[in-house]
Amino acid sequence: MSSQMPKEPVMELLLRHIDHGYGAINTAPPATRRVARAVAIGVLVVIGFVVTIAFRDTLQDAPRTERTKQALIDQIGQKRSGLEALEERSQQVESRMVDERTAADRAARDQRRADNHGKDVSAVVGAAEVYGPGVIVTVADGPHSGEQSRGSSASTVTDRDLHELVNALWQAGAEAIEIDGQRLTTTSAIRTAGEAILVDFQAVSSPYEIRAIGEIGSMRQAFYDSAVAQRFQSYVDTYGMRFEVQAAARLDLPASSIARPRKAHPAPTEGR
Amino acid sequence: MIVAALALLLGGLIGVLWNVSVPTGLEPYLPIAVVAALDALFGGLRAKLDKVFDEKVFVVSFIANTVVAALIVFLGDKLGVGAQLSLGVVVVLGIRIFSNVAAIRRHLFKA
Repeated sequence: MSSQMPKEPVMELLLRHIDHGYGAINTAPPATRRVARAVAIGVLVVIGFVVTIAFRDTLQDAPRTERTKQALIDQIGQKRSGLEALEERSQQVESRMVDERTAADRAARDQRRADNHGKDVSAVVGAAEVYGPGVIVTVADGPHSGEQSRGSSASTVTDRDLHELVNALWQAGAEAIEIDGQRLTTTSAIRTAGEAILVDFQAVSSPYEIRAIGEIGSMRQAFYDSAVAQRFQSYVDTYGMRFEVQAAARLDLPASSIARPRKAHPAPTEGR
Repeated sequence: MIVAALALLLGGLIGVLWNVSVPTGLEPYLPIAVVAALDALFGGLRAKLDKVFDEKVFVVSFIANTVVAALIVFLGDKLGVGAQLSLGVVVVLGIRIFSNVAAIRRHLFKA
């Protein structure tokens, strides 16, 4: 082993794996050598002691480190199951949200259906303006002397005539009917009062124009085939009364004000 | 040689019998101390086999290496690089131990 001092102690430590000095010739006196020997033995004892202590210390720590590891593992397990519970709840909330949304959609649909139903009912009942194709039936009194009171001449159109004509039109498929601008409703009355015929308290006079909205082809045919239509057709020749039926591509019928029922109460219905 | 072995065993015996727990302040220095001790031990053993062993050198090298290693770890702790520096110390001393053990092996097994 060379005894020269290398320039960099760090590199010496790394490259010369045996300590510098071991190679030098020992020139110390015997006494020093004995002391050195004793100290060396002491150092060996210390080395044995330190290594054993370190070994024991690590051994003692082992259960503690094991416990720490286990505690961490337990914590991870807890957090994970907590997370699973939260995920489950999140899924439940989501599915409930879907249910609620479906229910809301259904409710909206039901509402729309009820609204449409209400509109249809209003139209049919007479509470709403309507328009559509239909027929106009015109009947008029035949010629008669002005002094004769109403109802006594066979050539006069009576309220019963109007009843029958209107009935025949309903039968033929009319969906909305008006007489001389008076819309017929579910509570409409056609009656005679004195000289005049009243439709819902409104007087109407000859010629009576009955407008009915419905399927033109079938309604007109069915109406023609009805007994009252046949009868009036014969009146034209017999009494000179007027009876005309003409189709119209579009009729506009006004609404009638229907009073709120005071005695008729709607019966409870299940949800439609 | 026999004396050396007996001295080591004595130290181990004391370590086993004397139930002393390491104070927490010294805990980080324990691995360093062990590695420095092992390094001095194997260095001395190789020197012995190389027939250049000297007690003085052995003692001084042990004390110096241990002190320097402890100082490095202490400084590293204060500077916040304690783990890295102690790793460096362990690596360097470990290389030396390996090399010395290899030399010893060559002596013992002529291989």
